[in-house]
Amino acid sequence: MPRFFRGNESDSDSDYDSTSDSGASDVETQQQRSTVTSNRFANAAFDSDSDDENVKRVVKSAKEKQSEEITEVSKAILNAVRADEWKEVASDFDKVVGIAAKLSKTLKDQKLPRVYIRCLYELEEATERGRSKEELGKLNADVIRGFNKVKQRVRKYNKDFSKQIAEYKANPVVSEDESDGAAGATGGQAAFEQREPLKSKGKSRATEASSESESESDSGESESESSSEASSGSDDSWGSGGESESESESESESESESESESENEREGEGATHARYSRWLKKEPTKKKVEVKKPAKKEKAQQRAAVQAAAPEEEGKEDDGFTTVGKGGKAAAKPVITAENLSKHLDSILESRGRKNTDKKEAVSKLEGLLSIAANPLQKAKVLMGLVSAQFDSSGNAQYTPIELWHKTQTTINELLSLLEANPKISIFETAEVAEDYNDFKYAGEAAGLRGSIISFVDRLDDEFTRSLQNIDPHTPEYVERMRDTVPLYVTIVRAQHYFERIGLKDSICRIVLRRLEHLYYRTDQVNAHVEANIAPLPGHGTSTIVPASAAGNMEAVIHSLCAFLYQNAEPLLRTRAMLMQIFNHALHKRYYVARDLLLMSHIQENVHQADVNTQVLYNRALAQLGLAAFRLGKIQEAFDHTLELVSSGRQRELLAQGVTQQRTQQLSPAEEQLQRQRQLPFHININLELLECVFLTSSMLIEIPYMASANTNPEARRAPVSRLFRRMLDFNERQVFIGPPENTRDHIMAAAKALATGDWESARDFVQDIKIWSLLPDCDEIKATLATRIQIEALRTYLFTYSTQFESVGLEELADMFGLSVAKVYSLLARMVYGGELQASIDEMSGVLVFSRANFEVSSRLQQTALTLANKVNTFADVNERVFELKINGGNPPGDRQQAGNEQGHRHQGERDGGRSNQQRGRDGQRGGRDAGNQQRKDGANANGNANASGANRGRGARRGGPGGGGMRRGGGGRR
Amino acid sequence: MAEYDLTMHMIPLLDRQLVFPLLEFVSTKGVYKAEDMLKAKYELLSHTSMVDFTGSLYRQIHDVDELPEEFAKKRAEVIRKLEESEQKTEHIREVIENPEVAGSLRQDKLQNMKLLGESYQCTPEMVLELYNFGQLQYNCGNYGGSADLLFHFSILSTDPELTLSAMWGKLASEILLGNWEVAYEDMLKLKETIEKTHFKSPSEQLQQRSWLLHWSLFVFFNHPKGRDGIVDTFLLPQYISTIQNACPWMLRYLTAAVVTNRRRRNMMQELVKIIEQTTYTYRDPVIEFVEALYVDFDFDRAASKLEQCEDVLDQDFFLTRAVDDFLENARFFFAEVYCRIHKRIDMVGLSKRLGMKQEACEKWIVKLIRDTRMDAKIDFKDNTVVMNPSYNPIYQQVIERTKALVFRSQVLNGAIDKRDSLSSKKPEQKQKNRQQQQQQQQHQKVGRKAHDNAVAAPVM
Repeated sequence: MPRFFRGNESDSDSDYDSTSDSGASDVETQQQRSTVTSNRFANAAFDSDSDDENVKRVVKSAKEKQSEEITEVSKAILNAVRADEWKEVASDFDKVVGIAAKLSKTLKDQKLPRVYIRCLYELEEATERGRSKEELGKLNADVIRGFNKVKQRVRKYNKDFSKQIAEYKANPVVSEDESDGAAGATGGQAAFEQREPLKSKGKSRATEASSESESESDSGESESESSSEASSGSDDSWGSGGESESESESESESESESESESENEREGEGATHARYSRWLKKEPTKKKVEVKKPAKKEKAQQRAAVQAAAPEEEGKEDDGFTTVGKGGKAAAKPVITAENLSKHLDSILESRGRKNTDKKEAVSKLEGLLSIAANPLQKAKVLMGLVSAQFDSSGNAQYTPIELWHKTQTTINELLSLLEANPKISIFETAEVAEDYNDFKYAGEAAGLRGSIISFVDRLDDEFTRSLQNIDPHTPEYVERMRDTVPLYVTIVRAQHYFERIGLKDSICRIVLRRLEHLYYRTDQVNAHVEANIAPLPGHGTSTIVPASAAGNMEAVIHSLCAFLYQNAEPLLRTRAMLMQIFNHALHKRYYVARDLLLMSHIQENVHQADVNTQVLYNRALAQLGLAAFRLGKIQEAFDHTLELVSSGRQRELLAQGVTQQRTQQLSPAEEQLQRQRQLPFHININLELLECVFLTSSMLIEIPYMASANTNPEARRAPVSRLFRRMLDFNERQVFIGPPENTRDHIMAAAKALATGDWESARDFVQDIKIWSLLPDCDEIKATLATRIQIEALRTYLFTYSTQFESVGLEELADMFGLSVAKVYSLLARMVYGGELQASIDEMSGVLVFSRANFEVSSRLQQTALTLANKVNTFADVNERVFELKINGGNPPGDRQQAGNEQGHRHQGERDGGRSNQQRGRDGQRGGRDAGNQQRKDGANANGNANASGANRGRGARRGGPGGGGMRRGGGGRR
Repeated sequence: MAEYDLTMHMIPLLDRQLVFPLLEFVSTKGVYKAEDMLKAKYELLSHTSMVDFTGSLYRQIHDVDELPEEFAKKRAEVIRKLEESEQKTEHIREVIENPEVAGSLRQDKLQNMKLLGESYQCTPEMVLELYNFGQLQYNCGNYGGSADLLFHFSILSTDPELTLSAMWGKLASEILLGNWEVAYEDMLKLKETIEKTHFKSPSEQLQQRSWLLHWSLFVFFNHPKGRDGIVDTFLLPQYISTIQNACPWMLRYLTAAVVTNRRRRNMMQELVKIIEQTTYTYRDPVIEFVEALYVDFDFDRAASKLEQCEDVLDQDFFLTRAVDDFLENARFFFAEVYCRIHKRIDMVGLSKRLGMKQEACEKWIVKLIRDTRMDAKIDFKDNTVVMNPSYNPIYQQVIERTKALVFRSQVLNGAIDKRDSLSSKKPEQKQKNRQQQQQQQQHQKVGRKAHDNAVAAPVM
């Protein structure tokens, strides 16, 4: 019922309906004619109904005139109501009331024409239904005024007719039947009359409009009659609306209105069977009608011949039925329908991707088919089509609407459970396409369908990621959305089980990678929780990829997944799996394992050639490795790993966590789009502030003592270790007024300055005050480690800075000053002395550190300069040789230099030996940097395209060597 | 002490027969239960063809006099096979042992085969039979015979894989025979072959290398030149990474070798770096001693580790003979570091740390000072050693640094000249180059380089 009202509500649809009226009704009816014969009886009855007024028109002209008039006006009112033209409604209403009064006099005790009653009823409905303010607001003031006026008047006036209206409402058919009796004689004529306007309708809409006055009331009634559920609300144009619906379906192009949608879908299957089923369902109703008027049967039969000549009428009827028989479809006889199901399915699938195909419609059609599908094979076919259709229907939105996504996921799950329940059915890409339509006979034999579950799951996962990319991460919506990760994960695992069963190697690899992608960035606890959800799955534990023994131990699960990929997957997937495993190891503080994996895989050597996503993953793995090193208190390693990433100033971009504003370069929209697509969802992100904080803290602990030693020791190299840190410190020092530290960077700068003066306590406090440490899982531990490190570095800085001022220092005093144990101080000093950092020695007897006089000698300016000069000349010679190698000799060292032979060996040595001489390392690094530069020149037009990084930066990174060797290459990788 | 016993680690990477001496040694030290050891030995040998020996072990374990029938069967089988092989190879053995033939053999293996085939009717199958016979001999414990056979085979065979495995067999035979000189050479040959061969996968090469590392221990610790050899071999980059990746316990032997070999003292720095990188995977007192001494400068810990070392080394099959050597040299390193760091040293404390009596220690220190020509003196009154740390004066430093420059520049200059004479098509440039002073050339080069960078920068 409600649909009818809605249908009346705005006239746009009825307008629309009538426009599309013309074409297809013929087709429709022809179809109908062939199938339906039984309902001719009913049709006959309809015709006779409409005679009502016509009878009177012939007998008494005055009466006829009036009733004609009243019909006309009533109709105008109805039209106006639907068009929301309340002003006209108001005036017409006055008119009609006047006529009705006259007519009632002439008719005496006869009833007023039904049209009039219906008009009244309609008006009452329309006004009483009430409208939301919103709706009213759309209308203009005139209209509203008219509306209110009508409303009041109708309320009052209808009281008099309440009985008739109620009667009409309760049983419109009966009332017509009554009048039918009188109409009997002229029935044939009426039928003829009725036929005429309908024909003209087929020609043009204009004629239809003009001829409506006659035919409309008739057809309207015929309809209302046919509908068992008192569909009195539908007037004639509704009837035509119904017609048009079916048309639009058969054309299956035009966007149909939301109201008629569901109907469209069902019918649009073009499915004769669907319609057929509807007829079947409705039969009882019709029979009832027939039973009620057995007397008329004869008459009806007489008219049958005439009826046959008027096929359009039947079409109309058909539509009338269609609108009603909505719920009955489920009772369809599946055996019959299933036979031609695959044909329909094919036709739907064929239309996929064509212009003007209504995607939503396709979805609901398929949903309809699904309930008809007779056996698992058919179901599987329909489900596959449905999944694709559902993906298609998301349109151009940034991401699939969540509801739709859920639906799709359910469908995929359904498909998977179907496959689980019917192990004989398999879906894979290389299956042969069977053109036979005998699938309804399917009886459980092995069957292969062409399709790709992996692409479904891929798409589902991608859509999920895309939605996360677009939802603001700080809203509850995001959290809500994230809940879907678990079901999604379950789906992925199910798909994996399926592939394993079928043995699709390629798909297994891809799905395993997907699964890894869901696991690698989370901690074991979270993963274990997620993993618990897959336990109840059928086939769980039978997987060969993840042995049952690994269950519960997330490290083992991840390892077995990765190990599978290492053995079976193509290089790209292998690389990605490797990087994810590295990331995961690093996340769990297994620094060495992660590092060894990274170094042994030699990823850093060819990561430049990888696609951008892999490079991003590589950068992420490195960043995480840096964090892991830091958590273990390995400051130097943490520094090396994070150096290039942070000092590039484009962390966001390198980690795909946002777009950095580029001052120099303007990205084209396409590139920007690409970049945005690459972004990782928020919950996967590595906290950049934390990363920077780790980097700066490590820099501080390395740079400050280094600076101090460089100031006193002419031997020390003066180039800063961390340029970025140095720059920040300089900037901070140039500030006139420095307030108390507020952000992370301020804190570290303050700490650095305190550290430089040996004030380890305040340095420690500054560092420990940084709030962001709380993001690290073992925050307190780290703070404690940091405190010790600060003490040590403060001691070193102190000694470097003030060594020239001392003749000797007591070990115990030092221990006191820096809160360290004497043994620790002793070991530190010993190390410095042995390494030549301090020119001093320990007097064991008196427990003091004695600075040697050589220290003071050096302070002569001339001597210092001479030393520096000697160093520079050496560098000079180095540079010359290098230039010779590169430019002239094609990479070979000149002549019989000693190093010549070793060079080759060193290169083979790989990353693991930190044991190269500094010079050697620098040289190799330089070369690496250059090579990378060339490489870059070649790929210059690559995705990011903003590779304006300075070569110097890269060279410096390269010179670092050791574990940082990994770091250096990353720059090249991520930058592009 | 079982925790520092490496036998378990090493067994998978050694040949069955090579493991036997290890087990024998371990059982004398009583680290494991005697019963278990017997069983292990039996298990080990039951897969070889040394039936008689296995049988006696069986008797020992089960405490019976009679052997099950299968032993007799196996014995008969082995003997039958041996005889069969012997017959088959008779001809080719005769041919090979003919000095005339030996003289005519060349480097080219294919040619050799052709020669043998044409003149002496030797087929490739016969050569292959040599290998089988050698293997049988080896399995039976007849190492001398197997060594000969496999040697011949490896010369004649054209199959690289079998040749390699024959070389392994030869090495094992020589080791078990105790022919260290030959074994040493064999090992070097094998090393060369492994480096030259292209293996299908890196992991295969890694395995070959780690085998070599393990097998070579037998040679290195028995051959007089072994101490040098082990340091040189193990410190090769490819073997360092093998140690780090596949068998970190080998670090103990490397450490011991470096410590005992005072001539290769400069290797210590390198070793320390390796140890620093590797200690997270493996540690034992020997390594920890070096770590305590050179990484943490914790002399007390180093001293206590040194004590432990004595036991550990004593339990080690390979190092047991080097214990004294190791302790002596370890003390030396200890003292060296100690002296480098300290200005004044308490003799009592030092002697305690070194685990020596005071007087002996005094003597030892005097000897040390004399040997190493350290600038140190003993203060009798305070019973201390006073060091006079010497620092290079600035002048010396400058001289040292600039010394090599002349040579380097000459080399560079020579190289440029050579190249110019090659590309004599541009006489003008050649002329120019000759005229230019060396210094100017350098300037030019630097200028060019800077220019290159300037060009490169915007592109990058």
